[in-house]
Amino acid sequence: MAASKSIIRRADESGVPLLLVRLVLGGLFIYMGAMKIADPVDFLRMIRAYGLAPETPPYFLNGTAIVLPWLEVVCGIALVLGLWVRGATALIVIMLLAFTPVVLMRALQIHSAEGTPFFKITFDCGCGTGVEIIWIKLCKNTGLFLLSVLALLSRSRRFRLTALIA
Amino acid sequence: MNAARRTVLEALILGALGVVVAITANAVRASGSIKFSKNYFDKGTGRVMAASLEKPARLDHLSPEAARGISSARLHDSSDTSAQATDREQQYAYQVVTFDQVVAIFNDPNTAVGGNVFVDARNDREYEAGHIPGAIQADHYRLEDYIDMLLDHAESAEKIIVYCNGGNCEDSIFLCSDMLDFEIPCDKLYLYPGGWQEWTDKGMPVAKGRE
Repeated sequence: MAASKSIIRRADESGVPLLLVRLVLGGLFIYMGAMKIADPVDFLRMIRAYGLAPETPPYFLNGTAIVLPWLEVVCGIALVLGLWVRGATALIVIMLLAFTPVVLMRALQIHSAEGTPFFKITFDCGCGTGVEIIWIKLCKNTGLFLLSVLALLSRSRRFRLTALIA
Repeated sequence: MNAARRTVLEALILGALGVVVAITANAVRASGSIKFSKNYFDKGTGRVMAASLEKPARLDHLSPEAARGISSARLHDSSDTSAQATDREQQYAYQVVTFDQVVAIFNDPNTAVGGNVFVDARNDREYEAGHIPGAIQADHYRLEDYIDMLLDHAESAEKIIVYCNGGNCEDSIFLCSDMLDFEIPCDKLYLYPGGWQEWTDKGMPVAKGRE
């Protein structure tokens, strides 16, 4: 047990696992944010379809469609560069925890309303990755969540822009 | 500063940065920006109801050819029961046209000279991939790019038939609401709920690209 702890700690101290996590998470969030920024109106329609926010007054719905994609991009860039890594990861965790259950709920609604088998349900969840098989999307989000937790738990400060500046 | 407090502070700074960048980018982008205070999903139901109290909606001022087409369609469309017609009226605040009525209007000679105008409420990609021949495009979400042309056509048109994809698509309803904002009379507006899906499913002619 002590030996395995030591291996994990040594791997973490090398900074390589966190670097890989940062590049994967950061790259994906930059990509997904950019896809939404390319067509903000489409993203607005997608988030409206979830019915989470009131349509009147429109500020909350429109504000979410304006801000969320850029927040993803800013967090992604911060992770790739190694700036405020914990803060960026915390925001990503919040976004994943907020939206993954919503996607699951919509899939369950479709399942009960249309009788489509759960594992065959596909739709564009507004995640920036187009139409996807939803159970696979949920697995991907769970994977991203676990990567985010790893990044939060890591003590490594290597390969970060802040480390280079300091 | 402990780790938790530092994490919260970093998240707040990144969040604020995200908000500033997003608002700036939305303000300076050339097209496709979202207007913060605009309700993009207003169906205009209240305004239509108010207008219909003043002037009941009707579909009786077609040219003789179109009127004949519609009466013929009504006679032969046994599936269009009065219960279904009532359902449609309740579902849509606007005047609704069925496929047969749309075909009659499409074939009406008055349509070719701008007396009736078809308006496609879908986006550029969908419109260019295929639309009802002669239809002008007016993407509800980028109305500023289309409103001048739409108003030009609407002024001279007797009937404005608005459609989108059909099915669950509501963009044609939102566009009708936009037109009310620009004081296009409600009794000129006709909603075609079957939309593009029904039009193509029934093998009707299709135009591609820009007109």
